[in-house]
Amino acid sequence: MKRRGESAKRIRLTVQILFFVVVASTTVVHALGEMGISVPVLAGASLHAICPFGGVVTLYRLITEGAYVQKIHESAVWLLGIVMISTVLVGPAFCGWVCPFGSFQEWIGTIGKRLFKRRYNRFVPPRLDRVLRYLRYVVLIWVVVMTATTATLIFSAYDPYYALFNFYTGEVAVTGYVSLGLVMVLSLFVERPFCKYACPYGALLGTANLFRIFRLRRNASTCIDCKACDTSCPMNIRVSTVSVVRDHQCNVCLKCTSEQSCPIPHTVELNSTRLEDVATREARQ
Amino acid sequence: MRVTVRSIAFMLVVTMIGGVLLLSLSGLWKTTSSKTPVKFSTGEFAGLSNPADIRGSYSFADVEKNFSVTAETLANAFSFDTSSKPAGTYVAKDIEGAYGALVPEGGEVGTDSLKWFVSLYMGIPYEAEGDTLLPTSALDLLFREGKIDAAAREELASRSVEPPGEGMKSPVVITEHVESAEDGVIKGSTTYADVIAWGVSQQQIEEIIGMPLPGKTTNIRDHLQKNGLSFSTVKAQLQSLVDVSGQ
Ligand code: SF4
Repeated sequence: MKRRGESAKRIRLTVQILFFVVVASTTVVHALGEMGISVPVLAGASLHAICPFGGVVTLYRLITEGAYVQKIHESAVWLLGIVMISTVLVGPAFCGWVCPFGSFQEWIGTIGKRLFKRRYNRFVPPRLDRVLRYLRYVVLIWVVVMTATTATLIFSAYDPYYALFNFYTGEVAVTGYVSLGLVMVLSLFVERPFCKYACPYGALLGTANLFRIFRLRRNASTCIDCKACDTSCPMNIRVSTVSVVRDHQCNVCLKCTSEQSCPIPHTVELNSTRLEDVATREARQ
Repeated sequence: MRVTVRSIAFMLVVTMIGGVLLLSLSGLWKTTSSKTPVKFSTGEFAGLSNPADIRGSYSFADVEKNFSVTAETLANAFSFDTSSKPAGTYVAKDIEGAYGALVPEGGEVGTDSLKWFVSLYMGIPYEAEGDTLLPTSALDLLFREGKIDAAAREELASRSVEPPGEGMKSPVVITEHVESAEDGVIKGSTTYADVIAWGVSQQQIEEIIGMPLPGKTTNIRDHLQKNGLSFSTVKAQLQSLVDVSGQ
């Protein structure tokens, strides 16, 4: 089990690194292009062009006026569609596996884990934390409304993700650097603070956990109540108390599953069928 | 049906990277602007492109494609030299680079001036920003072609600026920098783009001025004055770097 857990971890890390490198190299090639330096083979694009959230903020203008918000292009809308496929199937796996800013926070978090051990990711009082988790919906509404009314990328000036991949270009506003710094510091105490409290795209994708086709399920009849799933969850979701995880914060990292943390096989799984039914069917065969 | 770590990894790589590759092969993957401004959907101008949506990245050829104004007319209006560079290849952003040093404090000639000019030329109402100015050459052209009357010209005169003189007709565009006899000497009209073209890196400049560059085509003296820095001190430091890189 231990070895299987390790290989699952490695697979996810490989995917995260792959997408981080793809995004970083695409934006660097773009910045070099702006300076008149062309890089052979590699194609560059601005971060706005390859962020599916750009597709969300431009949708209103695209539908009402047939045009894109400044700096957003067709590619962002296509990405929005592509991400929707995996989101409808399994939930916001984009957040847990693809988004380089999520990975970046997670990697900084490994330092926090070393520093604070078991106290890491448990600093915010639960009652406050519960309220703060809805803040990202406020951000989502503000960004979508403001972008629709001003037709400019209003969030860009505050976006730490944009600041991270453009810090060297001179195009980042002071507010962008400040929010990046803040997220980096907070990541030492809280796992994925931006994803938890502020990411507007995560807020949108998180709603898919209510209706995803493959759900994160727990088989209560085989569960030994060891709470390993709860401890492993970076988003502090109490998996051990539910039979289906519908929490809007689950990012499908699969750390809680029987493939990684849960010691009992087939007890926590992403499955289209109730695990109790799967177990009964398998017992009959 | 169970979904494992392996299957999620596979699905994400295939849908994301495979999807983008497929879109690229079919020509649908576009990461730059299609340079098509929004159209008026209602009213007198329904169906016409809206000049307010012209962006800094639009070339004069793009404007010509979307509006009934030729690139040549635009180049004339903004006094751009078309003998060394075709009119259609100038971009809206070049306007700011060309006029940056000439515009009085509190005024601006840039993309908004282009939007305003196109609107006046086409007779479409447009509310320009309060500090936006038009070159006198643009007003002359509008008057000559009967797009504005004498009274309007008179009224707009208070929001106009003289275009660059004969010797400075071409805007400073970093990618198209042309060496001149004066190269390598920092003067009042020198832009950051000039200094970069003379071999000094953006980082070196930023270290000297202690802040990020506002835009490479910004006039150095104006920028320093606006930020309360001494032009002569910075000039001396930059000049020594230019001299070293020129050796
Ligand atoms: S550990 Fe489980 S519940 Fe928590 S985010 Fe990951 S998949 Fe979702």
